[in-house]
Amino acid sequence: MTQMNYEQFAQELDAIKLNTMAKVGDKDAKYIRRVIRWQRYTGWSGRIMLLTGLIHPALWVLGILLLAVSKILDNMEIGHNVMHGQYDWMNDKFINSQNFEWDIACDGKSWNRVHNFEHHTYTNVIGKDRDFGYGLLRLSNDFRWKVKNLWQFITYINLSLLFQWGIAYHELAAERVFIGKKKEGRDQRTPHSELKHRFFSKGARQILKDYVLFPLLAGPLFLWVLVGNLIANLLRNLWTSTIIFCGHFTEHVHTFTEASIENETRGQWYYRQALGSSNIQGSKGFHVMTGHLSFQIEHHLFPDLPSSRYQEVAPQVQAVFKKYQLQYNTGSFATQYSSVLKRILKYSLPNAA
Amino acid sequence: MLSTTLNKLSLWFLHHRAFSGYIEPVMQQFKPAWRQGLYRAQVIDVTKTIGDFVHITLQPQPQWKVHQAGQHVEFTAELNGRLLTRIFTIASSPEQYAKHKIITLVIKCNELGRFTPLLADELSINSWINISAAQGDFTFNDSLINRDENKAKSSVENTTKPAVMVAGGSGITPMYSMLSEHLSATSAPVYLRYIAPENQHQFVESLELLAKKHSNFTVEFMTRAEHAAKPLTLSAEAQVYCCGPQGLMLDIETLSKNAGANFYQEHFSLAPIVTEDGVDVDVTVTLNGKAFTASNQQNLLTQLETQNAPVIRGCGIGVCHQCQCTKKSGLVKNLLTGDVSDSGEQIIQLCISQPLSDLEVSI
Repeated sequence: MTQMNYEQFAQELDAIKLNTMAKVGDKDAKYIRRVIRWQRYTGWSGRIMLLTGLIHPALWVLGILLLAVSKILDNMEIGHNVMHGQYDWMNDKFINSQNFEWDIACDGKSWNRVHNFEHHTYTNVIGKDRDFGYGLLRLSNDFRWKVKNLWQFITYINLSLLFQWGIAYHELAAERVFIGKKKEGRDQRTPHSELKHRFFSKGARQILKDYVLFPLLAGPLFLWVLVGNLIANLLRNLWTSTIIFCGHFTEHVHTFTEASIENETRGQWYYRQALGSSNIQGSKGFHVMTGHLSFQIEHHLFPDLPSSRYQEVAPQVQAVFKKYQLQYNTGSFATQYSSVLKRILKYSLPNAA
Repeated sequence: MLSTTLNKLSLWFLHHRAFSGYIEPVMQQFKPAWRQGLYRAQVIDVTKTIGDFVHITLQPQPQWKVHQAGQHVEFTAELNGRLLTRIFTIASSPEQYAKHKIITLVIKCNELGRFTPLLADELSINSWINISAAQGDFTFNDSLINRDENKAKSSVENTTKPAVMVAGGSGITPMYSMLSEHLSATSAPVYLRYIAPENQHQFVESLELLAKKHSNFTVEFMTRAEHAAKPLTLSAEAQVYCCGPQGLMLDIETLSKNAGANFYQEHFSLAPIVTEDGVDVDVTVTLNGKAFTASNQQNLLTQLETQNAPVIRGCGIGVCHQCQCTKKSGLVKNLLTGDVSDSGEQIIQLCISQPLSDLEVSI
């Protein structure tokens, strides 16, 4: 690593966080409640419009889109951020990381534990952050090449289509690792059986809800609703997977070894977050739809800063990066996404340059 | 019944445990401060009085059930986006509620607190807040009913027995409510000793008026020194009611016991005793009902861990929220931001929380 002044670097980033946190208040509470309302409105209207397909199929398509938007808002801007504890300061009984549950196959509590701990603490540390490639894709030379990597592009497409199930299974397996490492003699709050129960009960409930209960409510329009829900879920899967890949697997995102994070200081932790993420440029609405994961760098530096503040802190973070001559990895959606695809293809082959 | 069904449906269809939680942000568009499990109340008046007190007059929604004199409510207000909850005794009488549909809370502003000092300035007239149902059993009626062998045999018998009330500071609120409500219904002698720093007594005029109107009622306003100089004399007949600081309540309780008098008290939540930052003091952390001892100089997670408390360690640097739990009461300092918490309920991260007072925590 370079001879950079990590301590000063940390102080400057800490200052950005503290200054912004001091401003957090009414505006941010109103913001997240507004997003929740839009999630409800799009969800309700979407589900109703799925029933109007007989009048005109275009209405059905619109219904699917609205439902997909609702699910994306629920998973990205609301679920992901609320479960990070970004809105815990509101003391709201429902909008907090302890109680929130989302419209996705993955159980919120399991996800919360693994994502926030494993992924955010050990971001891009090979062997520790299993989110790097999700154990399915080879995205750096840190991993030994296997024959299956030859067709990992297809694996990637499949993962994207089934993203919610991939995540659900991934977090379940991760729990095993997480729990296995726990020290002995301490109460285990989440026994293996409970994890399995959570995985299956949440997953089953999701399947039942979208593919049995809601279609049944529609009576003769059973199939319209079933197919509509299926497409809405697919759209959500593709969108979330694409955005998340753009945030971590663009070409210039760095990886780190376990040895390099021994006795890591706060400054070095910040440095690793800075180089382990990439942003996507876009409009305000686009950022909301990505759950502000288009500000993946800011999110990784300040995971519990309310998402409503990422747009505001981004220029300040960028200025600090410039001062320390760090690459601020950002680009248009097209640039970042093609970069991701290149990376997946590049490491399909052994020992890519 | 209906709500149980709705919640079941909500869980299956809407991945929300409570249906009202699911629609809350939408309902709030039409009914400000609409919250699950709480009543809405509109702020009618906010008045600052001497001694850093605030009198808040509220109009609860019609479904709210009238309190008994002496009872309290949980009061929840959203201040700068944060929902803060405190327990306050209702100072007004049920009779006033019956007549005007309003209740009054009298609140001592604690300078160290993060809630009460804001109330006077940030609570605007006509805004909406939440209250719980009235609760508590420090009431005239209830204490007249025989629940203990040592206590009086019947309420009729009791009404003729003298009542002695001792209030310290904001402990006046339940007494004031009881007096306003019950004085006209009793012929027994009632004596109120109200102890507060000079010029900080509340309701002085109203209490004097009550004394004029009811010959069986006498009131004395005292400072702590005056109270110490003129000890209470109690007869075995007396029904003693006390509300105030812990020390005062202990003294009066002993006095009552020695006199053989019946003693009733209300522990109202005091501002927790805040330890000094530079001085190492042990505080008690009650986790899920079990008591642990912790130093006020270190983070909670490590200390609870070494005592084998059922806590979860994550990153240990305040990032991952694995160790977080709900603090029910007490003050903590956030080691990352230096912020001192409010004394009410909130979610805290154990790894970056330093206890500043005794705490009650649940995981």
